[in-house]
Amino acid sequence: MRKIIVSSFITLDGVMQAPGGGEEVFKYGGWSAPYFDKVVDKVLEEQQKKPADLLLGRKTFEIFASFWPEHEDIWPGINDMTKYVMSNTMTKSDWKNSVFLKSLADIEKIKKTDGSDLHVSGSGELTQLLLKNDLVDELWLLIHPLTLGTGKKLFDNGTIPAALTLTESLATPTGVIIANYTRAGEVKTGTIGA
Amino acid sequence: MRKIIVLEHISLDGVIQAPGGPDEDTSDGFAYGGWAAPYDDEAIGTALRKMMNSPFDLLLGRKTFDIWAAYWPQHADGWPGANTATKYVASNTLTSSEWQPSVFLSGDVAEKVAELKQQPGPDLHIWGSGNLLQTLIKHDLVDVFWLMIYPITLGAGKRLFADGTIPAAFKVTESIVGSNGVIVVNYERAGAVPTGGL
Repeated sequence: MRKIIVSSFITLDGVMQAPGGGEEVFKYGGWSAPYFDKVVDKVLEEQQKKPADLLLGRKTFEIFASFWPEHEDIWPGINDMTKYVMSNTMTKSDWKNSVFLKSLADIEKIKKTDGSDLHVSGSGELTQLLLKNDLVDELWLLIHPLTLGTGKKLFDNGTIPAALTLTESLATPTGVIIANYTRAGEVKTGTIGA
Repeated sequence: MRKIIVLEHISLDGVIQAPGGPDEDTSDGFAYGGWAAPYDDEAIGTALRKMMNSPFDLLLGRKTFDIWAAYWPQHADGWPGANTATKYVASNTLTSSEWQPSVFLSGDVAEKVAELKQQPGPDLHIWGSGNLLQTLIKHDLVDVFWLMIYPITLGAGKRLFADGTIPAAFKVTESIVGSNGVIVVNYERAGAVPTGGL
């Protein structure tokens, strides 16, 4: 059984679109850049060091495939990892260790096999599918101190009611709240002060 | 110059509807009222009391005012400040209340609140008041968001940052993590959104 881990840069209003800029046409693309510092860098480096395979949407895969094969020095091991790619159209790639998936059932099948955890980054549409079907075991969020008012959101329509456990948290000097959550059952309710 | 400070219990997916109890606000069939209740925690409670015991007046939407007016006068020992604070209430229908001191703002609420901010007095605290908040956010009238971020998603319910949210940058001046996974963060308004790629 492999865990599915979604790591996401989000704004205070939940936008996850184009934090790094460049890759996508979005008015505020690159919004995470001013908050990037040594602390964020170190956290991301630690996350990338954990043994993992990647689970990606087709668009994110294409962006990755055009960049990472020549930049393994920045993300050691990325070329050797298995890249599971959800796509209805793509069936192969020159990037080594790429495996193409067609359906939710394919993802569930991979999840049940032995192996490294599956890290999801970017991949907005795929993330929606995973959240909707309660397939996300961990959320690693970097909550940035800004609102954008527009853009694709991490928790969009189709988000399910779910309780989580905060496992790690850190506030960086630039005001990014880094918070890791694991899935933990149903939402409970009560009455405050009762 | 009085600051407007928004204090909210908020889920990871941004929902602020009915954190306190099942009957607080069931509009649109909201079924998770009382989602904040299971997360009682000493560190968060202490931070909350610090805010509740600081000098303030209240700025409230009409619905939140109605709920509070039915509760706090009989529960003064729980929070004396709620009764002694001046309640500024945004409403086009309500013009007076037995719960005093209260002042009613009608018409162009954004303009009235902007004027209110210029007057001398303590900071203005907002709780709940989902509709009023949208007007204040849209007109960039909020100086501070003091958020208690809960480790849950709800998938439905009124959101703090709805349509009409403006691009805005903030500075984190304080953050506290409770043993229950609630994170309290104080966000102060800090200029425009910086752009430019990595």
